[in-house]
Amino acid sequence: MNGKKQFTKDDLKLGTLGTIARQGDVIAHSHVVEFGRPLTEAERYLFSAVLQGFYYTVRFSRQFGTDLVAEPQIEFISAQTARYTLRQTNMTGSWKELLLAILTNFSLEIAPIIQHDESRAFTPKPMFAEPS
Amino acid sequence: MISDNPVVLYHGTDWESALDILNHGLNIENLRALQIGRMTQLGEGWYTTDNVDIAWYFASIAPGAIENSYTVIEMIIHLEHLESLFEQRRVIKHQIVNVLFQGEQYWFHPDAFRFLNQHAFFQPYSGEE
Repeated sequence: MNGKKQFTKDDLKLGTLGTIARQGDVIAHSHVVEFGRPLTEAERYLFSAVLQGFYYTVRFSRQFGTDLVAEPQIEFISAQTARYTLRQTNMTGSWKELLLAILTNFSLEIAPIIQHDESRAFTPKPMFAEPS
Repeated sequence: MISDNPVVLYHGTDWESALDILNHGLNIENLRALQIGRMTQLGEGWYTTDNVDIAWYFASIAPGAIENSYTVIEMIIHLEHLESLFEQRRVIKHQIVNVLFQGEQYWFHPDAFRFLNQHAFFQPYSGEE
């Protein structure tokens, strides 16, 4: 069923907003988060604190992979755009699902994340209607 | 092309791995090279999702995307074929924990690869949902 056209790189839609670089034994990966509105100072602080909390949860729970080696770096490029960088020794592990959940719930509860690199997964429609 | 009861699943990965799947199909040896000795949620296997934006999220943190661009590919499969794999327990569908939106992960056991290579259709992400 697949025997057929040979695809090339030109056939692919490439993602480039997220970057992953090797720095010796450490892998540093950076991601751009675009919010649906400018964040207040308190919301920016909370966003940074949430990512710091993610790091410490992964680091000390040892339930999501144990490969994060430093606190995340978070910078706000503008009032509604942030870039964060994680450093770790490999890129596998269930920390990915934890980060997805944390960012999604931040988006639902605090400020909408309309884009994370090329993904719009963080502005979801809730599965169940809110009671009126 | 699959036309009756198609199910579209998305897989995010680095572009070289994507091309390898598109042109040569799923390969357990290539998969092991990325996953061996490392923690994966459901074990060794191929992970897909029915939500393209979740696939883009995982693409941007794919192990093979170090110093590399990433992409999303589509697998189109007959619903009947997918149900057959469910019955054989060669695919598991599960919700991502604590994320309140519609999007589920589908994990394919390596024993399903041969069947998928024969019966599913792989193509680059088309931008159509």
